[in-house]
Order: sequence, then C-alpha cells, then structure tokens
Amino acid sequence: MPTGSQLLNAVLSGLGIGGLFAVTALGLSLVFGVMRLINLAHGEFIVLGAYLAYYLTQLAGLDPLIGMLIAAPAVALLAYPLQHYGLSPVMSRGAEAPLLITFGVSVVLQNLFIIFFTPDVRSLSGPYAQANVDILGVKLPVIYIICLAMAIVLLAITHLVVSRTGLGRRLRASAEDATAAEVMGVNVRRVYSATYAIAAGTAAIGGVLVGLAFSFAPTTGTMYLVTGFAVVVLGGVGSIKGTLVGGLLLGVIESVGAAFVGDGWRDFIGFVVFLIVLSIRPQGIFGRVEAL
Amino acid sequence: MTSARQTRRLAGVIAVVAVLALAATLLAACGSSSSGGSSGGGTKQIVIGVDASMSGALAGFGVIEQWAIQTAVKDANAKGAVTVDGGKAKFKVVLLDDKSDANVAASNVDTLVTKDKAAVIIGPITPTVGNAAALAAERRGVPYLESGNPLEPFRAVKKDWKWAYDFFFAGADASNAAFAVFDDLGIKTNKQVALCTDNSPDGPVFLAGWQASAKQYGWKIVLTDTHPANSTEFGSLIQKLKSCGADYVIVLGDTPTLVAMRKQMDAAGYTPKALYMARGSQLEQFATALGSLSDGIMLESYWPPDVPYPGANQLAAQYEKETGQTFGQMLGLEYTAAQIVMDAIKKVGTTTAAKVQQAIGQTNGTFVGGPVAFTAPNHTSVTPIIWSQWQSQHLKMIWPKKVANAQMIYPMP
Repeated sequence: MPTGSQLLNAVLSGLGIGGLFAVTALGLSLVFGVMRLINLAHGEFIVLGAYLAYYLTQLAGLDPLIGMLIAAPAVALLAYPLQHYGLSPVMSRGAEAPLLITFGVSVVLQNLFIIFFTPDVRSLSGPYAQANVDILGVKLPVIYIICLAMAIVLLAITHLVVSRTGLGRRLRASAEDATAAEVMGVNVRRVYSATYAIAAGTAAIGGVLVGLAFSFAPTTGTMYLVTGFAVVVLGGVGSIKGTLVGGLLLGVIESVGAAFVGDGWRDFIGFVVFLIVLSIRPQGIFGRVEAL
Repeated sequence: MTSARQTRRLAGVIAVVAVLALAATLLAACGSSSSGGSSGGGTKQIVIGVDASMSGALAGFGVIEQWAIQTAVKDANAKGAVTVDGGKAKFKVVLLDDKSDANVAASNVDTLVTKDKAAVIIGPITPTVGNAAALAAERRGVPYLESGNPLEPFRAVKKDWKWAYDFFFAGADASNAAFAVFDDLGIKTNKQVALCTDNSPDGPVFLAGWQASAKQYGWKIVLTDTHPANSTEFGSLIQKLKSCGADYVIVLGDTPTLVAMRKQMDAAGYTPKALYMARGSQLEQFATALGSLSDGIMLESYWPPDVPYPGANQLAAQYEKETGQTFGQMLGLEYTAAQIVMDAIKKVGTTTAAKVQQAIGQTNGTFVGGPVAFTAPNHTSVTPIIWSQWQSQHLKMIWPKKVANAQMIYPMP
C-alpha cells in the first residue's frame, strides 16, 4: 500500500501528466469536433514541434519554451496548406478518404523524420526541466507544473476564441452544420483549414512539453495519438472543457493506480477506466451537449 | 455538381491518395538498402542478407550495424573478387529494416532468403528482434550469424541451434561484473540494491543473473520491479526507489525508457549513489540526450573507446569521420560479423549452406571486434565484458583494472 506522501505525489504528478495529455489531445478534439475527422497525423505534429524546438536550441541557443513560440506557428503554417489542398477536396466524400490521407501523411512524416533527423532518441532540457518544488513534503517536478499550467492556459484561450470571437462563431457554425454555415456565408473550407492549423500548432506545443518531460524519436507520436484518443473520448468529443478534464482525470487515475500496483500497469489501468466510463456514458464526461 | 466535375474530383482524390501511398512506399524503401561490389563482366555476386532495426526504439543500433557491415564488405571487395563455386564473385549487402519488430525481422529473413537469394544472414541487434530472425533462418536452413544478443537468451530460445551462431557477452559475466566492480575497486556501499527490469526477452535473464550475482557478492535486494519495454513514466517507481534505501540501482531498458527514467529521477530530486543502466545506455545518443545527467551512469560494455583490439581505434575514427557521429559499441562487432561470414565463404569456396555453416562454426581468432571462437555451448562465443561509465559524456573503461582508463565516479554527481 502506498503511503500518504506517495499518494499525494501520485495525485500531483498525475495532474501534471494529465495536463500534458490534455495539451497533446486538444488538437485532436478540435479537428474531430469541427471537421468530424480523425487526424492520424496528429502524433507526427507533436513530434515535429519537439524537433523544431530541439534544433532551435541547438542552432540558436533558444530555450525550448521560447522555441515553442516559433515552433507552434511554424507547424501550424505547414499544416494549413496540407488541409486546404490535400484534405479539403475529399472532405465531402465520406470519412474514409481523409482518414487514409492523414494515415499516409503520418507514414510520410515519420520516414522524413528518420531521414532528416536520424532515428536517435532526443530530449529537450532547460533549468526548469530538472527542478522540483516542495509541496507538502512532496518533491514535484517543475515541468509537471508547467504542463498543468500550459494545459489550463491553452484550453482557456481556445475556449475564449471559440466562444467569443468571429472565428469561433464560424467554427461553431461549421461544426454544427457545415452546409447551413456555407449557405449563411461562412467559408467552411477556410474554417476547416484554420482549425487544422490551430490543432497542429497546439500539438507542437505538446511536443515541446513531451521533449522536456520525457524524450522523443521519429515514432514517438503514435503513443500520444492513442492517449489523445482516450482523452478526447473520455472528456467528450468536441468539448474543450472535456479535453482538459479528461486529460487530468486520465493522468491522475494512471498515477494513483501505478502507486498501488506499479508503473507497469499505468496504461492498463488508464484504458480500463476509459472503457468503464465509455460503457456508462458513451458520449464522454461532457459529451457533445456542450459541443464547442 | 456536374458528372464531369464529379469525375474530375474523384480523379483528384485518387491521384492524391496514390501519390501519398507511393511516397510512403518509396520512403519506406529507404529503410532497406543494398550496396556491395560491382558486377562487372563475369563476376558473380554473393548476397549477404542483413536484417537491421533502422527505425523504431532500436534504430540507433541499426544505423551502426548498416555502416559496419557495408564498410566490411566494401573493404573485402576492394581486395578483389573471391573464388566461389568455380568462378569469381564479390559480396553484396541486401539490408531490410525490421522496424524494431520481431515479426518483421522474421519476415525479412524469409524475404532475404527466398527473394534476394542470400547465401548467409547477419541478424539484428538485441534479442527482441534477434531471436525471431535466428529462428526464421533456422527454419530456412541458411547460415545465420548475429551479435548483440546476450548469450543466455539466444541459448534459451532453442536448445540445439544448427544454422545460427551468436557472439556477444554472456549475461552472467555482465551480472557478475555489475557487483564485482565494487569489491575490486574498493568502493564502499551499504550493499543494498534495487533491480528494475523490463519485459523484453532478456529481461528475465538479466534479472536472474543480477539476483544470483547479488547473492554471491553479499548484496541485499531491497526492491525488484518490472516495467513494460516501452514505458516512459516512472513516478511510482522513483518514489519506491527513494524509500527503499538502496545505494545501487540497476535498470534494464531501451534508450527512450532510460532517458525518461533518468530525467524523472533528477526532476524528483533523486539520485542513487550508483546507477547501472543496461542495454539502452550504450549509444552516444543516450549521453547526448541526457547531457550532464548521464555522468556516473555505469554500463556493461564490450567495445568501448580505446578498446585494445586490432584496428579498433581506426575503425571508430573512420566511422566518425564518414558519418559525423560518435561511434557505438556494436560497430566493431558488426564489422567482425561481416568479416566472419565472408571469410567462411572464401575458406570453403562455395555458398553451399552446410559448408558455410560449418566454416562459421570453426571460426577462431581475434578480430576488430575482439576474440571469437564458437567453443561455448550451443553455437555461441563469449565476448569479454569491460565495465564502463559515462563521464562528461565520454565512455570510460573503469574495470577490469588492467584495461581501465579512468577512475570510477562514486557517488554519482
């Protein structure tokens, strides 16, 4: 049985890891909520963000969190034409073609990473990445606090954009009924491209956090894609609030579970809970009632 | 929307999907490569089939394996054609990427034998993929040689190998060295150790070896833990390590796992006095990813920098010059693997499988990768262990004393 201190550590660490899950899953939630598209290349945008931050550190000496401010928009800029010219033409053709295209993009990107960046495992570092703070006797890694803070800030900003801005109105309209939105003068194709780009940018932010907290390699993205699906479905597809809560919940459940039965059971525990929640509430915690 | 427009749209979709699929296929094909000797008029080609992990968690090993084997073949071909089966021949490498997946490794061996007509197979590194590849070669009845697979997992997977051979260190020697180093160097500890292994094929083998050696050297095992091979989160384990009181922590894992664990240890304010990280810590990328956090981490090594084998330093320097990367330990052993198979074919003057297999088995000499003689049980050859430690991101030999070129750092910084 874990001690009180170990349990507290598990909860606090779980919130941090959950924050990371939420950030890496946000883009998936956005794309699926607005475009009804499962973006299988999402993991590769995460990894691309990490690589860009890595090389900005190596070449320009930029701290990864500063590099993130360049990497995120850069990945977004790369994703925009991909969606606009690659996916948009097939979006009305059913779910299969776009899904396959994103799968193809994922394979291509993974191989490009291997060619240009080599298969080597990489890691990002900064003075805060290895620091810790004492909270009630528990040494909590600062990077976990950063992940949690980033998740709250990022998802709050996203919620505000979606609920309070013109882009957000167009986004919600497109998500609700793309045909009706088109009729009302919304350029749905441009909205989709913007959504995809924003999603890729947030994925890149997640990638930088992954690189700081753990490590990354060309194929690391797949793991976060799978976790991202669990977070999105747990929280409720298309719900930004749900993505945050789903991520935090998954992180805490995995960490607390690991405190009882060991780290080797993390994924098992996480997905068992995921299946239980899904069986009780298939629409997820916040479902699609709230939508965006 | 008109029918013609629909048709054009559909054509566009098909075109996009086809282009992406083609690009993916071509890029995937970059994971396999072939190189080798010329096929000038009258000179045949003897295919050396190679399965290597060019992508996935073990990709760092694959890159080294590819360079070493291709260089060895290039060097051999530069000396001229060999006489085989009544004619002149040069060697050619056909390499397939197993993506660090055992099923793909086995499939690759089948392809190399049936499609590429490989006369001999050199297998991948680590038992995760090596065992599967060796079994596939055994089924096909083709001579097979590998290094990078500790001998116990290789011997355990099949009791009586006929076609496959393995030369590498014995897990028992590594396990022994892990504890002997403290006694031999006079390092004082509280003799309490925590053992953390993963669920890869050599996980149980290493664990059993550590348990036996710990007992032999009077250490108390205060914690034993097993984690999945692809784990990256160790919050709970690190808390247990903090409270178990062990001065010495031993961990087995692949590079991403070990990098993540060391980072999380430090972030949690925990540094054991001694830390041995097995398998994934051998590669330069491990030390590069961790930076100063790698200082003091010990590992089993068999071909560290400055190892006193013939031509070792020159080979390492050549690799660094040609690739711009710092060499990895498997460099010398993979070069040796290629040398052994080529020497075997040259010696018997034929690619007849049974004769090549026999010639490989009769290998007995000291190569750039060290001594090789398949006199140990079940088609194996023991590579000597040299205990090493990362110091300022350089790998230093610290034991045995006769080869040591640095003092052991203790406790860890």
